[in-house]
Amino acid sequence: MSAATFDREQADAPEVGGLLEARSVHTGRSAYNHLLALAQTHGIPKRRVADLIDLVGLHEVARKRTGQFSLGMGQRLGIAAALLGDPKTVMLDEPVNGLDPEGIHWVRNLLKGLAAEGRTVFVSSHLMSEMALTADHLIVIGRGKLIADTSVDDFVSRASQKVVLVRSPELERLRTELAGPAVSLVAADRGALEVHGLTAEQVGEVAAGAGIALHELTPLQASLEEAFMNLTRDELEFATEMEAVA
Amino acid sequence: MSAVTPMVRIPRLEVTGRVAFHRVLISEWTKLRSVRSTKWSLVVGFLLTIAFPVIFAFVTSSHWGTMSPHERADRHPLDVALAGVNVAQLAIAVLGVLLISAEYSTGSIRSTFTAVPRRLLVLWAKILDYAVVSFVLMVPAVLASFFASQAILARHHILQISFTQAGVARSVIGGAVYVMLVGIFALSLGAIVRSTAGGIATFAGIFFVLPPLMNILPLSWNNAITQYLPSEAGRQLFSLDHAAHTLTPLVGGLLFAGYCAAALAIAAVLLVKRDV
Repeated sequence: MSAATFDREQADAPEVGGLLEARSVHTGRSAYNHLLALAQTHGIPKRRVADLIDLVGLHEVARKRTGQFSLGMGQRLGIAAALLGDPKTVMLDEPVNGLDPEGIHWVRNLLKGLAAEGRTVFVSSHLMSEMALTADHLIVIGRGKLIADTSVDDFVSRASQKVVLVRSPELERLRTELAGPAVSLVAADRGALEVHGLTAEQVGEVAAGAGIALHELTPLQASLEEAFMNLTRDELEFATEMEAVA
Repeated sequence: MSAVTPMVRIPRLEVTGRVAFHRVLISEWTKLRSVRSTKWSLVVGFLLTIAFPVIFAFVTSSHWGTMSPHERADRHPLDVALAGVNVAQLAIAVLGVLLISAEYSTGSIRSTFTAVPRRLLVLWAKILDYAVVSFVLMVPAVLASFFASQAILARHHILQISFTQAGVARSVIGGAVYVMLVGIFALSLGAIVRSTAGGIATFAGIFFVLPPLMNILPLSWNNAITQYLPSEAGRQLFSLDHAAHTLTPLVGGLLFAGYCAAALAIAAVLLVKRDV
């Protein structure tokens, strides 16, 4: 459902603009006429239709029938429709679907720009790496239940286990110093050690206390994708979805 | 997490308004004129309305000498002038179905109803736009077909009838009214069945299959029932003479308009009730 606006009874300015499904366009109608017909329902001037066509980069194909559009062009048209009414809240479902790398970059900037203008931007997506780059706030829904409603940083650190990578010339001595009941040590490549169960600060202090030189001390952060998998492992089923607010 | 990138600026919207019927009317007009099927159907409908009577008039003129008195008596100038209406109605009906069924087949109905959540406004706007377009198109078409066929027949001094004669102007304009109502009926069918093939098939069933099917019935039943069929009732709008088992133009026209209103009412109820 790519559409201009929902019109509240009392609202003059449109509240919500949404792109829920890119292919909600008559294939025999041009992009310009599709947007124009939507704009006319709200008395939005023609000039704005042209402006938005330029903004989403469809200028050269605006008069072509949308049946000939690629997936990415259809997606851009849907985004233009969502923004027609200058909405305070924008809802986009999988906005980067079918876009080329340049297009994905463009959507990212667009979402950031919309948020910077003070709009609320809801993005529903299964692409964790994309969410990590764009979103400020996450809402994770699985099996119809709210699994998380938190900032991206919190989400990642909450789901990450405490893992620290240390590199030292005196690895064996460090091993004995660090050993404890809640700590597990896994040998990593080339004289490095993965320490599970201690923070980077704790590892650093143990090493300093024992006079062991460290060449590297890195807290390992899970990626958003790993964090997501950790958090939803139990609840994961066919329809886990992630929504983000930029 | 925010890299320094040039931001995309959305131009502000200074003028904004709420959904209103006149705006939906303009929007539906844009949609009507911006697909190819509209142009083709309207051009075909217009040309058929004029071309058939012209051909009919030429054929009648050239065969007049060899026609029996019975045949001559059977041929009526208005039947010649309005022969195209029966053909043009198919083009107008197909377009009527398409105007709404194509929205469902392409998915654009979701855009339409998201922009205009009060769905009935869309239906009324489509009907009104299409009724005006088909009527404005058909009035010159039937006038042209009347005067063109009369001019051709006049060269052989046969089948002349005056436009000012009682019932003639009503019949000619009635042809345009009939086609307009067919468009409304077909658009309503399209909204009910929500598929192009289904809508056209339903229309053909009611208008082209049902009437000959009545011949199966005993003659008295046939005479009693057939006059109330939509196509037969509507036909009285552009018929000059009336047989024993036909309705008057006024009653027939009103009955046909009633069928259209009933189809439209069903379409409206279903439009509100069903999910998109």
